Amino acid sequence: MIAELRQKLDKKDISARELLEQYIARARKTDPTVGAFLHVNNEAGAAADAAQKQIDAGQAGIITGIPIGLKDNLCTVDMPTTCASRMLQGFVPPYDATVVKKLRDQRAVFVGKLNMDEFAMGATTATSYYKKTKNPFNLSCVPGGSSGGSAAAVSAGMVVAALGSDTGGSVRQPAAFCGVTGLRPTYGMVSRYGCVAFASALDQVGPIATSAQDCAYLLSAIAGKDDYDQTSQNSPSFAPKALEANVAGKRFGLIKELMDESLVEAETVEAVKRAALWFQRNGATVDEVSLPLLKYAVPSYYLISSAEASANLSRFDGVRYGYRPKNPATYDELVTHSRHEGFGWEVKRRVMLGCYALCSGYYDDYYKRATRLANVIRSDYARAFETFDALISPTSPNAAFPFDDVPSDPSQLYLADVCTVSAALAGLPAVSTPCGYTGAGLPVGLMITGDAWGDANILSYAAAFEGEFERRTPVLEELGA
Amino acid sequence: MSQQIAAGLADLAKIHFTLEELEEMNRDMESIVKLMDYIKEVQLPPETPVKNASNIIYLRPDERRGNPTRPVEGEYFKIPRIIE
Repeated sequence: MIAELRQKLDKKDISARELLEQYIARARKTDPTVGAFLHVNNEAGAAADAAQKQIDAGQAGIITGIPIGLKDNLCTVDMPTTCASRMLQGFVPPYDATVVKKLRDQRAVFVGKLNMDEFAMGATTATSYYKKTKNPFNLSCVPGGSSGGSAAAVSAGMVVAALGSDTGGSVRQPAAFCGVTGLRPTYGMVSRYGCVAFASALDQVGPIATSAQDCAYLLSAIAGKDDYDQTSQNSPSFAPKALEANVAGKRFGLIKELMDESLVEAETVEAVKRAALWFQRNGATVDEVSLPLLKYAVPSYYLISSAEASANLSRFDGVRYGYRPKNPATYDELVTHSRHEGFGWEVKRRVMLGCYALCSGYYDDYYKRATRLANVIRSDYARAFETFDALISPTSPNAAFPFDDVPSDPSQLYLADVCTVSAALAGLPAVSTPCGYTGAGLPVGLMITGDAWGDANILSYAAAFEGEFERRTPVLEELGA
Repeated sequence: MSQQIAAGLADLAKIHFTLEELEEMNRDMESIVKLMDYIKEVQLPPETPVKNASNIIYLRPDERRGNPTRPVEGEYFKIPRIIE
């Protein structure tokens, strides 16, 4: 879609302002029903005019003038950044996140900030303090999370593409639930400076769009070393326009443990099997591969991420940032009551778990063991990539589920992350693209995981599959559009 | 997990809970820790390094550090200036 819009903008078939107005108009009609936006950018029109000047001067880049949405944990100088938390209500950062600055420098047009699970902790976007985001394919279902607002906005056509962040699956799972494409880049490929920290060893910013090709365009716009994030590196260069979109001769491993019907819904397994057959029909080989330690990835992920979250979120104390209760009697009360009233329940659970994992009496059994396990999982992947070019699996054990079916037992909800967390622990790139629909018409995601820095490869495999796959879009009339 | 441990964790986390909330959190934590306990059964090679470089052998006691006494000015606490 970005390439088509680029052509229209460059040929002056449409102006950047007109393009923006089309998307704003759609958002005005649709978003009261979907609830993807937390903040609409009042300066978007001026940004579109600035983009137009660049287009008129013949200096447009691939994303100049393209309407983009931003997850609300990416710092923006001209819009609030709340992380969907009461703690940061009304907070306007004094600087742009590096990914935001990069897009701004290339004159992308920000339509607004998008809803998410509070501090990116969740898989439903239902932990947002502000609003409920609904799945455009079925309004009674969750959009996934934590980047649920980003995925829903792209799916409902309210933005061309969006940025999300993926700590344990927060780009890929909502992309799967909302029938769009989402990429978790290799750890270090994209700067996290200005992405409000959840778990620094795992957090990555990634694109969500309607195609792998568009994800590639957005990735190329945000990737690269950043002096403000010492984990970032210059990635091998790739030309998004030249994505090979071909799987012939490639070797794919179908992850056995993630095709187990006791773990994954039958309709999801069937859709991924059909995708595997497509790969085979198009000249690739697909063989089963076993990664037996993946069943331990969920506890390992939750221990590491929660431990880091308990440290990262200690800055929210009512003094340095954010919400503060009225008339605290003591400094101690100021801090503990700020966190009591400012954080939602899920955030408190993660902080408590993090403190537990880091306690001296439990450290060896939990945190240290989890980090050792993550290293073994990484080694298992490395061994698999000696044989395979990429691994395929479902993105989620199930399609989107109704709000009423969100499990009350947190461990049940955490177990649903089984398909996505291991790539995050291993720092590997993984893309989710639609590969089928359930009988109820809900999208099913196929996840393609690559070796480190193989982002362009997995995007090209996804692009090849998308070329043959008949992607559905939500019926916008039903959404009020 | 006992409620005493949950209260200790809340203290370390610097989060106030009402008694009812602490009971609910305790129930949630019991379920979560049960899931986390699953990793104890995996046999890891003895020399597996930790993911990061900090193979810590000394851990400080699980005690919350006392808050410094803050001078008060009107309704505000005074904190050291960090930007000149």
